[in-house]
Amino acid sequence: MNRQQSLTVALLRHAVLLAGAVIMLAPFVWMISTSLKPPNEIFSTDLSLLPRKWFALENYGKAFTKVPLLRYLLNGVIVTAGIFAAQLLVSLPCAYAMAKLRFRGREVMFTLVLVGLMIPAQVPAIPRYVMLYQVGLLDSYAALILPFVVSAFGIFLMRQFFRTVPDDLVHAARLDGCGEFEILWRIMLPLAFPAMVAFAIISVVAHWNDFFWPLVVVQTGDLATPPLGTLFFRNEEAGSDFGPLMAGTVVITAPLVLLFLGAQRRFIEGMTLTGMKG
Amino acid sequence: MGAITISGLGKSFGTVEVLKDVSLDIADGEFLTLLGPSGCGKSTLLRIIAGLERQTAGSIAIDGRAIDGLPAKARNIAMVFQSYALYPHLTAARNIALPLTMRRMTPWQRLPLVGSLLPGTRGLRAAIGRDVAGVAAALDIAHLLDRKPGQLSGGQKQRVALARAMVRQPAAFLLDEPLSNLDAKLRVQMRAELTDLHRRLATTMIYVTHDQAEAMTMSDRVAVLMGGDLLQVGPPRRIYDDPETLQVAEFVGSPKINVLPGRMGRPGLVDCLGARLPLGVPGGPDVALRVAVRPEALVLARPDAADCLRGRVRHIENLGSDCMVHADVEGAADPVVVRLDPEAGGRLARGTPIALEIPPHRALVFDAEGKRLRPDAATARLRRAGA
Repeated sequence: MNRQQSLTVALLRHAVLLAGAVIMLAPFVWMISTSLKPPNEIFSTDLSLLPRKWFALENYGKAFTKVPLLRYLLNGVIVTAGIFAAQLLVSLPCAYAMAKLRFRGREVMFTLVLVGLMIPAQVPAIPRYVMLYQVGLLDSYAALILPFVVSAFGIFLMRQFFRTVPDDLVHAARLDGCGEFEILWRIMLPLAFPAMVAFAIISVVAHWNDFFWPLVVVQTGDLATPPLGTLFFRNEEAGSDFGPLMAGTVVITAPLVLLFLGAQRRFIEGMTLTGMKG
Repeated sequence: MGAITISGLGKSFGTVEVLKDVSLDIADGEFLTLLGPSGCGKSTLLRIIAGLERQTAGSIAIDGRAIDGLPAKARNIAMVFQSYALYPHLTAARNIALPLTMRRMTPWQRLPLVGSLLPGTRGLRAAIGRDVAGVAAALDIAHLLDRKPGQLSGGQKQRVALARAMVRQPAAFLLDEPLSNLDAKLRVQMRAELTDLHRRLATTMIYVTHDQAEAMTMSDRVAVLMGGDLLQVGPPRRIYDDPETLQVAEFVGSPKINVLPGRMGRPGLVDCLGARLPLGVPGGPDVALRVAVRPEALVLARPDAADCLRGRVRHIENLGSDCMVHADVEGAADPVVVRLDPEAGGRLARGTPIALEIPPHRALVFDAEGKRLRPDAATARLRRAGA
């Protein structure tokens, strides 16, 4: 391929990527733009990204005062952090056992994990609701966290990663005097850090954005997670006040975007799972 | 102390028998090599000794105490792996320190932050640091202690792995093909260093390799393992000169030993492709035998000499110090290899007819199953028959 041809291909490729990026980003850009505009401009017919009259302070101020937005954010942090911590506690030992220990029924267990991976969260929602009702935990943090403590995806992801760690490393650790928990803690965990970061992002994004389950189990506004908070906002503000609503959604989305940008490299490292070599 | 006694050891994976009734006594301070082709079960044997695998039969004892039920960490055995198995996230110093940390400190003392607040932790850490520095100095890696394994060369990783094994002064070292990932030059150097290290430590070492040069140069004794069977155990020289089976004779030695078809002739004589050898091995007339001769044992004879193998030169390899002559010999399936000095070899050319003499005392005779037939036993029998 000569230079000119490759340049054409590169241009074409970038054009396609650019178009994709525009389609992805447009709603977000529009959201930010709307959050800065006064109501009359939001509904005006001419398209303009920047507001003629800056209304940011009013919109964001309203978003923070009309509903307890900070409380929603705090709820989001408590719930996602609680879920992720519990998921690690369960999935790390489980994944280690399935990757490195030999025991009867290991394959069956792994198959069950795969099956678990294929069941959408909505399927067991009703039995879970009933169970939480019977133990009297509905409308609590526990109701938001407990159903997600065992993550089939987390077990699967960490198991795949642990399998790339050479057996000799585990053997060496055993000879050096480590028990199984020591091996997990001293050897496997530090090595699996990239995979853990990837899992952290996936888990946090999923549960930060989760709308369905909080909607099912939470009635009091004090426990609302950010997406549910947005809903309360819309209900209370009767729909038409889009400026503050968009300001609220910007605030809710921002942590995730920042988290992703900060951990982007780790995230890709973890996802490609280029384990240990040498 | 580290005398290891292996008795009747067997291991099967499902229906596959990897080790069959292996019994072996290893003296304290001995350097024993387990030699065999890949897949012969030697690494499995090593792992069973280490406690990483469970045997399906038999028992192992160290200094007379059975260790079969003990987990790896309670066996006081250190192992060096082919892949070195250094912890990639820890510096060389912390790699070497880990076995000591695990043994000398309580779980509480090992905890990050909390541990350092407990009484005694600092003293223990300092003592461990001194031991690590001592071992590092002995292996000449003191300047590498702050590096992570990723920043070390193969030879350096090897030394760190050795240091990690040495630091806790185990009863025995197990080495699983430790040199196979090094380049040829470094391998020869490490061979000498390991032998030297063994001399200094005087600790039992069990060394697994498929490389006969390593086995021959380093060991006090070699145990040849093939297909899960322990075929022969003995000093390297004996394994080479006096193999019990044709398999051992063929596996040890490079170039490979020449195996020629033979037949019992008159009592005490073996006919081998025109050569008549007064070997005095037992067996009735016309019994098929195999005669094995090392390349360096064959002697170039005058072309008209009697009782010789006859053939033509097919190929000459001049290695500088030696000259390997491959000759097609009538009646032999494979070319016969002769080692000559380069001067004698230089006088030969491709196609030259040659005659090769087999000195009877250098010929090894095996029966059709590959079992060694010894002249002395036969002579004794002949003598009995005569009486």
